[in-house]
Formats: sequence, structure tokens, C-alpha cells
Amino acid sequence: MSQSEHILSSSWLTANLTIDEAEQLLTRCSLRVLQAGERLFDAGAASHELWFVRSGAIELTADGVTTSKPVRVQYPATLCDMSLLSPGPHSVTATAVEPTRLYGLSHEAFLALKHEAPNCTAKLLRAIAPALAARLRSCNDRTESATMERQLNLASAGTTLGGGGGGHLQAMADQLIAEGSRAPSTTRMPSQSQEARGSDRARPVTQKMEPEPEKPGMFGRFKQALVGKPDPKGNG
Amino acid sequence: MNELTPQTLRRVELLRDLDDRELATLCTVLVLEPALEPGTVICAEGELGRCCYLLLSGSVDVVKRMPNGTSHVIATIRQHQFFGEVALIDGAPRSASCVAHDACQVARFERAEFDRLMQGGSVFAVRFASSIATSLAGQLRNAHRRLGMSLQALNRAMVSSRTAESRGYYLGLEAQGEGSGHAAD
Repeated sequence: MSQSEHILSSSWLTANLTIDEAEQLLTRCSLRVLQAGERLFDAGAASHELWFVRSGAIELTADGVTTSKPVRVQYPATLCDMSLLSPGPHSVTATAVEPTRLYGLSHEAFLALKHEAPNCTAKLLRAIAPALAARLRSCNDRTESATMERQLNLASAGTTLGGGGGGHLQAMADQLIAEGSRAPSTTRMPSQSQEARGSDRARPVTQKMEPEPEKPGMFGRFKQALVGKPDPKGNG
Repeated sequence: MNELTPQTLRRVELLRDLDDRELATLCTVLVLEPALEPGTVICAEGELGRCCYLLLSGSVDVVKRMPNGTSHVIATIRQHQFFGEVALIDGAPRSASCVAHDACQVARFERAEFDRLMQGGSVFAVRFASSIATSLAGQLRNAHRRLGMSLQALNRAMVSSRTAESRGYYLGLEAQGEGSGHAAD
């Protein structure tokens, strides 16, 4: 299998590229070879490259948030997809745990690709944007849950949540790290035909907002824990 | 305003560099809405998003419902800005409501049209998708930072409540001991 076919078939980000587009992408990538124990990047360092793991394995560790467990990623994982669009500091440290080969696509190379291969860029954006949107919603939900849990914890001061919340805290931190390195679970942007099948017209802008029921999920459970279970007979 | 023209759209920063042909195409896909009165809900939190909007005149409040039931204005959209554009990407429920702050005129941009332009390799569509994705990446970085802070605060609250619980337990024992001693006297 050629390198372009390898990239083409491996990553969720590039799955819709043609071979020609994958080759255009590959010409913009640089190869990085790491030995076991070598750092790819440190938490806090400037992030400006997306990485396709070609072989080997990388361990991601978070500093400062909690004592979170390291997350191990390997082919066909992609790392640092946000760097393509918005360079900023890394939130985790990445270290090779065995001899590892990666392809790096820098922010600058991506900008150049936009002009040289707009169709390729459009396909990459169609993959990456929904993934970012899903992660943003998930992250906001977890922040709301953590805030609510903190308020409950302070309110109950040493009741059952104090003992049980540690595991939940650990799980949220682990999820935060893992989400950045795995393929998105959400669907891609639908095609026009899919949209046509599934859509109704946008709501008229003059329609007034109706009160909606409480959002279900973690928050609902916490609120129920705070105010107590509803009386099945409807009293009170 | 009765119809959209390329001259009108050229005032939008994101569209400034498009050529006349692209702008003319956009004029045919953007749907001009009737003028809105202040307080009109343009899109509501929780409803499925199937389009985004371009604000042609006036200003729009972005209103978020809080867990305690109150609502807060978390941002204000100004003239010639797009809003609600994440719906073009995922069509998920709106994360906030958009309400006309004063008399407004907006144009609607349907997700199906956006998708059609993307498939056709439209310069505008690629640029718009890039702008949305870049904005999402920035928001995600901020959201990660906020989540990290929330987890740290939660961690501190847990440690604090455990300490308080332990202290209360020992204080209780001491009080019990004192009381027992006093009673023994």
C-alpha cells in the first residue's frame, strides 16, 4: 500500500479524500520519527501541527487537571486537529512509548493547501468541523455538570457525593484527554440529498419561544439529588 | 430592504474578498426575512438548527438559560455578522437563543444550500466552513480551560468537604468526651 493510500484509508479525517487529494496532502506533510521515550510535544508548548500516527504508539498525559491515567494512541489516530485551525498551547504531553513514525501537517501548510487544493481542504473541513462542534458541546456539558456537582458538594458538605465523586471526576478528566485523540463518534455533515430527505424548513423568525422542559442528563440527576426525589403521589 | 445585492453583502467582512459572481450566487441563496421587532426570538435554545443568519441591520442578543432557571445575555451580535452558524455544521440543538435587541433585518442561510455550495467547491463555502471551524477550535480551547478549572474547583470542594467531615467527626468526639467528663464530675 502506498503512503497516500495508507493515509487515505487510515484516518477519520482523510477518509473521504481521493488518492490524488491524499497525495496533495502528503506533499504538504513532514515525516517525524521518534524513539521510545522521546517527546513529541510538551503540555503548554506551542501547538501548530496536526499529527497522523503512521506506526508505533504515543502516550498522552495531562498535567495539573487531576491525577488522570495516561491515554495510549496508535495508528490510525490523529493528534492536535485543533492546531490546523487555531494554533495554541498543547493541553497534554505526548511521548512515544515505542519506535513511532508520524506525518505532521502544519497550520501554514494547511493554509497553503486551501489555495492549492480547495476541494481537499473542503473535505478536511467537512470532517473536522462536526468533530469540533461535538467535542465543544460535550465539554460544555461536562463543565456544567462539574459546576453543579461542586455546588451540590459544597451544599451537602461531606455527604455521599464527597465519597463517590472522585471516580466521576477522574472519569471526566480521562474523557477530556481521550476525546482529543480518537475518531469522532458523531456523523459527518450530511450530503445535500440527506438534508433534503430529513429537513423541514427553518422555523419562521417571528415565532415566539416556548418554555421547554428541563434538559435531561447529568444535570437533571444532580438537581434531583439536590431537591430530593419527586413524590410519586404528586404531593408537595 | 427589499432585496439583497452584492453591494450589501460586500459590507460583510467575511464576504469582502469574494468576486461579483460569488456574491451574486450568495444573493440567490440567502433568504431575506421580514423586518423584526425588538424581542422577536429568531432561534430558540434547544431547537434543531437548520440554518444560520446574517444580521443586516440592528443588533441581536444571544440569551442562555441557566441551570437555576434564569436567562442571561451572553453576547450581542452586531450588524453584518453571521450567527447560529454551528447549525450548518452539525444541525444539533441550539445552545442558546437569539433575540432581536432592537428593530432588525436578517437573511437566512439554509444548511442544505451551504452543503450544496461546499460540494460545488464554492470559495465562499470553503472560507465560511474554515471560519466556523476556526471559531469552534478557539471555543474548544476555552471550553477545555473552563472544564479544567471546574474540575480543579470540584476537586478542592471535595477535599474541603472531606476535611470538614473529618473535623466535624473529631470535634464531635471531643465534645462528647468533654460532655462525658463533665457529666462524670
